Amino acid sequence: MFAEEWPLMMFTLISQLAIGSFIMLVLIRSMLAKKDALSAQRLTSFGFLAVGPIMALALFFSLFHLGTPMGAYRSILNLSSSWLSREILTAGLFFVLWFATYKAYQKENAGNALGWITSLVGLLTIFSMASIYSSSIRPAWSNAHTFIAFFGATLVLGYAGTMALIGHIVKGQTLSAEAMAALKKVGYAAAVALIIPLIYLPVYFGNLNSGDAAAQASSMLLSGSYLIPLVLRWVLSLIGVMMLINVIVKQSKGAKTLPANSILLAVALILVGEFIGRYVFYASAVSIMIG
Amino acid sequence: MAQLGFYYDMTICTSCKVCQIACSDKNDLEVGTLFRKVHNFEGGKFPKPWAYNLSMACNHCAEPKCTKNCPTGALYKREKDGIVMFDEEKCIGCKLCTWSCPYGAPKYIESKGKSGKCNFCVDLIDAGEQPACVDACQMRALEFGDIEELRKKYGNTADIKGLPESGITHPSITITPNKEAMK
Amino acid sequence: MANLVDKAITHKLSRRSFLGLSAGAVAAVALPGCGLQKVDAEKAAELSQKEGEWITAACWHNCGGRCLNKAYVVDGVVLRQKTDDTHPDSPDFPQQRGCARGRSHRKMVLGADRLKYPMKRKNWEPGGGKKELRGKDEWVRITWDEALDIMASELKRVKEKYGNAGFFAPAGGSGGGMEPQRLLNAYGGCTERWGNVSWGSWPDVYSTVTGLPNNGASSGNDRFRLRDSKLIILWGANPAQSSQGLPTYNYLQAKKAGAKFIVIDPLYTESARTLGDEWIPVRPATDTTLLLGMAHHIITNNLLDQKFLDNCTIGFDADHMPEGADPKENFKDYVLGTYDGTPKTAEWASKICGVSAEIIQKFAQEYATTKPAAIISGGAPARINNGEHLPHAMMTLAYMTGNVGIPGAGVSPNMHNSATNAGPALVQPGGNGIPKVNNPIAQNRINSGEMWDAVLNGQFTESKGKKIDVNIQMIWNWFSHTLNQRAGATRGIEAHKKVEFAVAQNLFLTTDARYSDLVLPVTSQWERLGGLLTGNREILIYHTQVIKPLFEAKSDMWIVTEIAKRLGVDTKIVNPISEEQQLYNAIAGAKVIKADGSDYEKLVTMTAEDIQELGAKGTPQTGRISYQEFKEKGIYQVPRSRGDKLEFTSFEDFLADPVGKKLATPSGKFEIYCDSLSKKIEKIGFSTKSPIPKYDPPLEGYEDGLKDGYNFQIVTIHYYRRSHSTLDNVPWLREAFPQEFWMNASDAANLGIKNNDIVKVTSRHGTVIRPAYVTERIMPGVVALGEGAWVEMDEQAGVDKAGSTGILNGHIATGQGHSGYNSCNVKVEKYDKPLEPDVKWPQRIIF
Repeated sequence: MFAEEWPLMMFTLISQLAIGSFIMLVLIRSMLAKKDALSAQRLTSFGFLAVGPIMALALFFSLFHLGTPMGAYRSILNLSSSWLSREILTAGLFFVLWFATYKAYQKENAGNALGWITSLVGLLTIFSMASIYSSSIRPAWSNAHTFIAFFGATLVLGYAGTMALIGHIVKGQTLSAEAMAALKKVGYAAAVALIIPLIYLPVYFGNLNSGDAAAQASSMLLSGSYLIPLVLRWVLSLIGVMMLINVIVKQSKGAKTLPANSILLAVALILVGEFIGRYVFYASAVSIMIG
Repeated sequence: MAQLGFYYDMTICTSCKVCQIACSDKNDLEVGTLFRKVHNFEGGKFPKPWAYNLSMACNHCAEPKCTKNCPTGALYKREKDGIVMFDEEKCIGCKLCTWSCPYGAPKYIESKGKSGKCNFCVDLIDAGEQPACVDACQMRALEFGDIEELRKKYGNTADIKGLPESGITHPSITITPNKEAMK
Repeated sequence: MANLVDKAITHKLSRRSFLGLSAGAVAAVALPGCGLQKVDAEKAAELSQKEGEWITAACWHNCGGRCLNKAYVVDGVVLRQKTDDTHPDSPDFPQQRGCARGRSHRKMVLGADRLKYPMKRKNWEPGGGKKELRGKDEWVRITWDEALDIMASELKRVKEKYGNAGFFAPAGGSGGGMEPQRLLNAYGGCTERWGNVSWGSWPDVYSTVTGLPNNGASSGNDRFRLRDSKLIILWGANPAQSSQGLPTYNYLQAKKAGAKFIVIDPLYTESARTLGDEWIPVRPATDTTLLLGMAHHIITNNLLDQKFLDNCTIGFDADHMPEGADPKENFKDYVLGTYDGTPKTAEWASKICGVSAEIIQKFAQEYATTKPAAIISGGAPARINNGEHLPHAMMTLAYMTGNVGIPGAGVSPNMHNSATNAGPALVQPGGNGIPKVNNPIAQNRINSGEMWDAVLNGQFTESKGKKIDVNIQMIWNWFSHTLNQRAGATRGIEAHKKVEFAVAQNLFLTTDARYSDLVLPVTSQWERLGGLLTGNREILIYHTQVIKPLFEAKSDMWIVTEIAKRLGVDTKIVNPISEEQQLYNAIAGAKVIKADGSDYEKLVTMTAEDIQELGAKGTPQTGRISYQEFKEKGIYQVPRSRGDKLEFTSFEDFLADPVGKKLATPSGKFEIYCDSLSKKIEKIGFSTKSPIPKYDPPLEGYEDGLKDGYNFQIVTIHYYRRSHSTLDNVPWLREAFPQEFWMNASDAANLGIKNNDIVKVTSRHGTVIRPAYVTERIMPGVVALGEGAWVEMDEQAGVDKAGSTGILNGHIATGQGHSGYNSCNVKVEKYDKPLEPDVKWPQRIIF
């Protein structure tokens, strides 16, 4: 499975990381814009720069999925009905808008509107991405679970990415109380984004179990061969997010610094957790084809 | 728009697979890629076993998911007769068609970096001939023609055990099933 | 033809990809004069713009069918194939459509594994040279001159040292009169092989019991008369698989006309599935008991057609015995157990054949009370050791119910080309004009069941009580893949390793080529001038050359002619008539029956230009169709319709006048008591047979298996994937039809075997491994494997990985010297090592 689908795993994960990070950064920037403009700029500028190359990397990986990568440009020729065309278009648009946003946000006083528009395009990219899988003939994918999982992963990865980027830029310097508060809020948002898919999981299993043979086969895979990875995926992501929130909560009350090691460890746990989650997503999808 | 389709009489098919081979010959396919494949199903208990075969290529669905999902427009329905056509020049090998078709008709061909599928032998049809598979059938179990005509003649059965539900794509095929294959 | 150009252009893309050969060694393309090679894109584009030609391509194998095969050729490149579209298709005048194997021909003829050059075994030297390395030595490419010199010097050497009997030419069958044998005969003779392999025990039984000089294949009904049948019993016949082309479709017409079908077979075959109203599974090699059990029911329930028995048969009861015969030795009393104390009741039969007594009685009742009913047997049930009782009992059953000689009734082995279409050929080729070269030592004929032992032990059975010494030191393989296809391949490999010189002519490195010292590449029929092929009685096919010879391949005739020159043998004897003249002779001599069935007339009109075009000498003639039409269509199909004068049912004459139109048997009747059969079998010297049909458990049949702890009976089935062993190497066919080992699900469960597990199958004679196909479609206690896979020995493990049934079958001579493939017992166990699907095995490409 991995040999075949790794480009898509990398593309979806990394593009979700990029878009999620962008959204988180816009959130932080807008929260701090009035209260602490300096922090807003200081905390997010490096992040805004980094999102572009990360997104480019994602798009680069996606080329490896294509049998004829030189024809990649043709992938936007069927916007009227193909979610893949829409995904590539919105992803490209996101990339262009990211550049505009990045340029604009080099000025401290630039408004947040552009960031929100770009975020919205990013969310449309994720929606298109989920729709591709959702419109397949694999019941494990053609389920609301795909949307919940992809949007959830976007915010969780975005949170992890943002924390890593901010952690990298502030390097032990003291942050303002407002900044800490903003980081705390995005942390809670990420926690919610993580918990919702977990809560949905029983519903998902229920859907699969009451579905056709392929759906049941997926359910059996998830509760059989892939049970351990599935559990591991949740444990790792949960620990990672909790650790990050814990660090911020503690630091808000104390030194108001971001301890690099703890943050990196937590981010790593989240990345590994999400990676395993995505692997299971691909590996457990059974097609309804003849047989 | 007229819609061409297949008729398949499962009850007399002997699984000789000449349709499959004739298809591979016509389309120059290498091992590993089949545009038409004969599937075999069996069950029961000795001395009352049952078995049936299912020869299937592209069903040139009324509402194909492959054409809808294909990002390049390489897959499209021909206006004249509803054939699901494939334009190899346009294909970029994204494999989405293989995720889209409930019948497994489009195949990804590694050596080409592109997909491929049954095009109803459109060149033969346009020249007034029959598709290679239909022409090949030793039992005359395969026919092609206007699907509405075929349905009038043979009934409208596209839902059989082993096949996904026809409501997904409305395949242009009608089958005379063995009783064990009936849903 | 103009639309072909358009078609070619539309096809540009797919064609280019074909010619591009991205998959490398998997496929190959022929270019004129340069053999198999990749064509560059430019050449491909050029070809795709050109108009090609549909050429009637030979489909020449011993497949049990015969169909029209055409190849589309552009500039010498074969781009695709098609089948019969020379006329509209209808059930009464059907197209002669080919099968998956025929449609794969270009992948065989143009396969990357074609032998390209003459080659010799690296360690070979005159007299042998590390003979133990045969089968695994390296190959060295040599020139034709060297190859022919080796042939000539070895022939001289062996003749001088061991005499002509030292040459063994085992091809036999229809290959017996072919090229190498002509040379050997002209050079003083050789030891030959004999013994029928396909028809089991039918031939001698049928000919002695009915007096017809044949194996029974042409008896029964033609396809129209079959529609008169009320009941058709397919006894061990699976035309869907064994006689592809029209037979199953013809049977379908009989079914549509109202015939009920009962299929007797240990396997629930595709024929049983599509045609059968009932399936009666029976243990292999025990059918005779089923027949006797039925006979018992028919006798004891007064269902006999006594009039038929009285007028048309001899030996049924004590009152109708031939002069001099013991009246107690009549069939009725045997069945009733009057003298041996064992009534052959349905219960008695049931214990042996595995069919319940109730079913036997019901079946007998139905058969005896339905007229017309036809029993149509395959060769399979009779393909058993000492199996002469079986056809004899089957025929007797038909005589008891009078189901012979009326339209829709009959009892005969209508398999192979005669399946569903019995009767004399309605169209036939002329002779090629080549006189036979007689074998000066023709008495040196070894039965298939003794030949390898004779090579190893130096002795064979000439006739009853008469053994002859023989010292075979050269085996010349060609044409029939004898080593792979005759029972006892394990012994055959030993025999090949023993002799001083073994040579093979072939298209591929088949089993016999692999175990030879010298391998000579021959041309396929596609690379030769052309010829006529017969099939069912209504067709004659004229195939012509498709491509030029590939690489250094030569015709068999060229090879033997060149050797003859080196030996100083008169080439005029070996090769007396040009290919062109032979073809002309066959075409000009072709004849077709008149519509009223009264006589034959010439088929082909030939003008002086036609004869010149063929490059032959002859005089113009007038026939039914023009030569050009024959050539372009590639086929002549006799017009037929229901009720025409060409319909056929055997023995109609005899039945109408049993006194006036006596049969050519000693009694002039069907011989239920057949002394001539007994005497014939006895004289052959392998086993004996009573004059009436009885149950005599076949060697290695059901009972022997139980006794010796080999608790499964294996049947060897004709396989969709290949024609006997031919086409086994075609990747498309390997993909479509994996070589699976059939076993019943309950047996598999008992042995802990799951579907696709690799199993080891061991008979008294050899061992193979194969993936299991676990199914409910086979009788418990019976297993099955397709015959014809090319032996692939794992020398260390001592197993054949390909699952060649020749390895499992015993090297046994019984009865009339036929091969008893379906009496064989095996043990089955799970194998502990993996086995890759053979479609993924590397092709046998040497150079």
